[in-house]
Amino acid sequence: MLVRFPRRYLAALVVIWAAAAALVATLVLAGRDVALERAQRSSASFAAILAGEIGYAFRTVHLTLGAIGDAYHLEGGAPRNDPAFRQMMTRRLQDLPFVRAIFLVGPKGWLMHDTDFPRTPDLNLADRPYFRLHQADPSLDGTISSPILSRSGTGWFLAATRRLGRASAFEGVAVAAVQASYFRAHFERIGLGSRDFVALFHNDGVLIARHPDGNEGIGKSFQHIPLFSRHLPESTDGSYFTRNSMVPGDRVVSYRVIEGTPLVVAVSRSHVDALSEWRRTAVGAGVGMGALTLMLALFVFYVMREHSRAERERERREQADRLEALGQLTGSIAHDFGNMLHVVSLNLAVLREERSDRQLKDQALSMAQQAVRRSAGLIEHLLHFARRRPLALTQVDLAAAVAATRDLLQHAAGPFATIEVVPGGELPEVVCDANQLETALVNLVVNARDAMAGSGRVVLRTYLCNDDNGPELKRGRRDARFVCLAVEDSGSGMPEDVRKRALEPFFTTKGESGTGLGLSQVYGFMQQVGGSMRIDSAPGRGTTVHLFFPVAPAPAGGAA
Amino acid sequence: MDDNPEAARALAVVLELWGHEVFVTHDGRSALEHVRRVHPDVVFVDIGLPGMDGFEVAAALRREPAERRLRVISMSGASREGDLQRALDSGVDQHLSKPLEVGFLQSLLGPR
Repeated sequence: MLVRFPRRYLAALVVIWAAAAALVATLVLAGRDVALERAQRSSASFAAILAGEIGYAFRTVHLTLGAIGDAYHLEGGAPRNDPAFRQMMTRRLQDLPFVRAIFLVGPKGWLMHDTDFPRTPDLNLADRPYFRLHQADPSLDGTISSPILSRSGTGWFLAATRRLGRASAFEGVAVAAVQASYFRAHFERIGLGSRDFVALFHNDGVLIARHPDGNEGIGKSFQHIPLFSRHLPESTDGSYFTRNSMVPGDRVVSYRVIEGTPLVVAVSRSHVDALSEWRRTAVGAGVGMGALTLMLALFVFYVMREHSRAERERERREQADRLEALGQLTGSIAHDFGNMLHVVSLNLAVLREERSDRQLKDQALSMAQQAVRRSAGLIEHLLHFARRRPLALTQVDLAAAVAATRDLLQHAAGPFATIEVVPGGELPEVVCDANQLETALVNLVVNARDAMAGSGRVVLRTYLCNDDNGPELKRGRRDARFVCLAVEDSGSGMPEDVRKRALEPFFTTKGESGTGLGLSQVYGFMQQVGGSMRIDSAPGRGTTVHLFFPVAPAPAGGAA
Repeated sequence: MDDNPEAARALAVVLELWGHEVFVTHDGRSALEHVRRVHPDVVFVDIGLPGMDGFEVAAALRREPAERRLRVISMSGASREGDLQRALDSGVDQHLSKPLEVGFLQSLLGPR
C-alpha cells in the first residue's frame, strides 16, 4: 500500500492545487472587474451630480439675464451707465456667486451698463464672437462661450449671453461673465480623492476648469483626447477606460454633456484608487495560495520522507525475516551436515582400513563423494537463501517456483515431516518475487513443522481460483484471476483467537523461540505482490494457509 | 541404529572391518526387538529419529533386565544444548557428536 502512495497521490495533489489556483485566479480577476465597474459607476454618478449642479447654475444665469433684459426693454433702454439700472444689476449679481460681472452691450457693440463700472474702460465688444452670433441670428436666445481671458485682468471667464430686444430689433446682448475659477474652487470643495481628476470643457474641446492643478491648460483645446475624438460624438454621456490621456496612469473616465449648455464635465478615477481594496484582497489571496502551496509541498515532503522511512523499515524487516527463517533452517541443516560428514569420515576409515577389499573401497569412495555432493548442494541452498536481494516483481510460474524450493523446504521441515508438492496443471504466470516466495514458504513450513511437533505432512498445492472460490479479494479486483498456493499441514491447528491475530507482527505462540514475524512477513509479501492471503484452521484439524497471487497480465500481442 | 541409511551403512561397514558383528535398524522399535533377540555388547543410537527418539530408546534399553551389561552410545548430527545431560539422564554410557572421530571410536571399542 505504502509503496504505491506517493506517485498516485502526488498527481491528485497537483490536480487539486491547480484547481485551487485556477479558482483563486478566476475569483481575483473577477474581483478586479467588479472593482473597476464600481469605480466606473461612482465616477458616472459623480459626473451626473456635477452636471446637474453646473446646469442649474447656468439656468439661473440665463433667467437672471432674461430678467435684466426685460427690465432694459421696459425702460426703453436706460441711459448709458445709469446708476439705478446698475444697482438693479448689482443686486441680481449678488445672488450669483459664480458670476463676476454682468454687463449689457449695445447694438453697436459699446458697453452700455456694467456692474464693474466705473473700473471698466470704455470698450467696444462688437468683435466678440457671441456678439456677432446674436447680431446675425435673431432666433438665438442665449450662448455660452469658450473661456475668454478677461481684458480687465480678472482671469478666465465664460460669457453666458442673452439677446436683448424682440425678434425684429436687435438691441444688444446681456452678458454674464461666469468665472472659470469658480468651478475649480467647487471641484476642490466637493473633496475628491487625491488621484481623482475632474475637468469642465466647452464642447469645442477647450478646457474651462480642472482639479487638481487648477491653472494648467485652461483655455487650451483638448480636441485630440479620446473624449472628443471618439466618445462624445457617439453619446452625450458615458464611461470609458483610458491611459495617459491628460493625466498619467490607467483611468476610468465618465463624462456627461450638461443639459442646455455646450459644456461637458468629465470625472476620471485612477485604477490605483479603484483597485486599492481589490489589491489587498488579491495580495491576501496570493499569500493564501502561497501558504497552501507551501503546506502541500511540506505535506508531500513529509509523506515522501515517511514513505522512504517505511521503505527502509520494510527492507530492514525483510532482512530480519530472512535471518529468522535462516535461523530456523540452520538447526536442521547442521544436523544434515553432521550426518554427511559422518558418512564421509566413516567411509574414509573404510578406505584406510587394510582389510577393506576393492569392492568395499569403491563403494566407500562413491558414498563419500555422494555425501560431499549433497553437502555442497546444501551450502548452495543456504547461501542462496541468505543472500539479501531487493524485491523484484516478475512473472513467475508459481508451480515451478514451489517445486524448485522443495529441497529447501524439506530442510526447513526437518527430517520427520514430509513435503509434498501437488502442482495444479496448466497455470498462468503470476506477479511474484521468487526469492521472497522462498522466504515466505520457509516461514510457513517452519510454522507447520512446529505445529506438527516434528512429524507429519505438509502439502503444497497450486491451483487456479476465480473470485467465486477465492476468498477476501481486494475491492476493485473482482475481475482479476488468481493462482492460489495452499500450504496445508497435519498439525495441531489454531483456535479462532490465535488465527485472528496470527498476522500481527510480534504475535507468537512459540514463547521465547518465536519472533512473531514469520506470518507477518508472508502477509507483507502478499501485499507487495498485490495479492491476499487467508488462513483456515481449527484445533485438531490442521492449518491451511492460502496465498492468492494475481495472474500476470498477458504479454502484449502474445497468447494469454 | 540410524534413520539415515548411508550413515548407518557406513558405520556398519567400518565396525565389520574391525571384526565386530553388526545389525542395522532404522527406528527405535525394531532396535529394541533386535536387542532382545541378539543381546549385543554395544548399541549405537542416533538421537534424531522419527517416532521414539534416541533418548527414549536408550531409556527403554536400560529398563531391559536382561541387558545389564549393554553399552549404549548415542550420536547426534547437531548436538543442541542439554543433549549431553539428557543422554546421561536416559542412561547413555557415551554421547558422541557426528561425525564420529574414527580413532576415538576405535579406542572406545578396543578393550573389549
